[in-house]
Amino acid sequence: MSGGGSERLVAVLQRFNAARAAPGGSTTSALRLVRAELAAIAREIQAGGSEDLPYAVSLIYLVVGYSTGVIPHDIADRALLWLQGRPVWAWRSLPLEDFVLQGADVLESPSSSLMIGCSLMNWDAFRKHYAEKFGVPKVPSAKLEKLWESLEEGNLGIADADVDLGGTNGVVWFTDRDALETSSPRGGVAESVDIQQAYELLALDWSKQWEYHDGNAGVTRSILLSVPITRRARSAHGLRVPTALEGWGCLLFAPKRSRGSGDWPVAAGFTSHPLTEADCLPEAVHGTITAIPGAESPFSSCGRLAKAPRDRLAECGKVAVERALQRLAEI
Amino acid sequence: MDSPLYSAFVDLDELDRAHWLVRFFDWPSAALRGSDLPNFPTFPTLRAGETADTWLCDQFKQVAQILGKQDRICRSVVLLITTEVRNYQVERRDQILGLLLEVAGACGFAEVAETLRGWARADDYRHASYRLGSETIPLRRTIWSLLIGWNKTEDLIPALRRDLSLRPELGSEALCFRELGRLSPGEAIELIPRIFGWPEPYWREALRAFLTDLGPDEAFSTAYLERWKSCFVKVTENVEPSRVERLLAPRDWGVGGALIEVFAKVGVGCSIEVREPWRQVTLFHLRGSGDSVQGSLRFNVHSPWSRRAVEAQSELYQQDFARAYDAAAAPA
Repeated sequence: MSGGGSERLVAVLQRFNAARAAPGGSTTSALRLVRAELAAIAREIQAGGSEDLPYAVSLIYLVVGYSTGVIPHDIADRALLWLQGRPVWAWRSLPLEDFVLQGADVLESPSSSLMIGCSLMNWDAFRKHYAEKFGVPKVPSAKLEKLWESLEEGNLGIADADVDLGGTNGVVWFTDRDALETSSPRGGVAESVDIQQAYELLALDWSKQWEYHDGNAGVTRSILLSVPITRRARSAHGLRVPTALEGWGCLLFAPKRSRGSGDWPVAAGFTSHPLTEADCLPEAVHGTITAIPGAESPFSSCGRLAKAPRDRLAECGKVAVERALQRLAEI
Repeated sequence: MDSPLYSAFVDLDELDRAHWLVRFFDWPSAALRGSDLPNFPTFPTLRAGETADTWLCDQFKQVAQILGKQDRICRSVVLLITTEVRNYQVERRDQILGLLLEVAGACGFAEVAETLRGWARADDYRHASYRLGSETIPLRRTIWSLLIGWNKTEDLIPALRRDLSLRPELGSEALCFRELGRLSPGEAIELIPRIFGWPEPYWREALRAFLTDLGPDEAFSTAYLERWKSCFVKVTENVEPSRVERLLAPRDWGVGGALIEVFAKVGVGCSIEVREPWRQVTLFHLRGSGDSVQGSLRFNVHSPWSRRAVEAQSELYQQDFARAYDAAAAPA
């Protein structure tokens, strides 16, 4: 990873750690010490178009989450210590299970029964994670293409136990039916979410992906998995991050807005989308999701979509940094 | 590394290239510690969402137009797999092998098939697994995936049967079932009761695909009549006769209802009728085009809680459905 930005970010992180751990130190004083410098570095990285950007954003949200208590301190402490002394892009190597799957439980919203979990995953992720469950080898073959045809015909479902919206198979968001109807790109319920628009709004970038069996470099296949979930609380049970892994590589985000106690979620790390404030778009960090037993086939739509034609990092970076810095300034 | 093309390692000497790949695959984040191969190209930095195997696949694709370079990557991967990475001191052999198999599968390096056949036959790596993203994958499942995808499973029926029957932890039952169905349909028919233990979406699809591949006419021909009889005896074996109806009845929650749907998808109409369930008859009709009855499997339930509680009678005949229905309704 090139550029001095990442080294400086690590140095800032180390100073933040040292300041809050020093005798008489506090999170507030530590934050005061590093806030301006953190912002300056983030802006510099953004302006330079460095691939360090997602990590800079992640770092800001980690500091924000720590300072606001959204991320439990013991977990944040361990994550910070782990990251200390490593290049900033070591974020991606953070052992999630050890550090971020232990978030506090949360209360359920009264409307939890209406919750729908959604995940937009690409075909490559689908074949790796699900093909064999249907008895189809995951290597390119005619059988794999037949599996896709079955998927397009709506003949496939997956078992409730395998609904892992919190995995790294795709980007995930949670919403309820009302919000989805009013805020989804085209309106309507999950079945009518336009995967191309969802891809755009989520700032996914599958342009680097090579589909080993698909010669069309500009097009990829995508599957929208949406399934009613029984318990929202379960989804926020742990800090399961990242969500927009493929698009951003961001490991720790903060919530778009703070919600009152009793609403969901109140104690976890969340992801905030760089392009939109729409309520239906990703805000959750998730652990194991419990799908409603016997729910209908969760694959609500699939099809081909055009990959991002441009560099999403440059396109979305400014908005992402500005939002992160705004959060930093608010605390 | 910013460029998607990183061909320096391809130009290394053959053994050095293999060595470099082993080190990189052992710990793809090795740049954290610095390379211990000072005279070799530095390790690339993986992008978000990228893993060592996808990175190598991308290199394979990138050098597609450069004469001989794809072969070099292929040779290195094949060499490492066929030697099981035993020529190098590594910390995570299973992990490396697993990722190399992912590369071989994605890039079609079928040169390793014979090696994999040996592993499958000898029951090697039955406890091995590797990590891919957040998932832990049994090595044998990937071995089967490659062999089946490449149609290299001839003579492996005993191994398929073993992993299908005895190794649920491998998660390769569906793969093995469909392949066994291709190689030995009769055995697969007899194993159908076993698949009912899987989540319903998976056994439905596996059964539908098996029947489609085999062809319904072939599947329900006289050649497999005894196999089907055995299958349905097993379905109802050890089931309290009073619960047979619940098990087989064509209702939403019954296996029978799901079977009717699956058969219908492959163009075979069928009906299941249960009468006096703790005494007498469950009749399973298979109908071909129109209403002609192709097969009939009749179950007589004699006494509760006995391994011999269920006996099956079966016959194949061609007659109109009404006549078959009357026959079914008559006391056995």
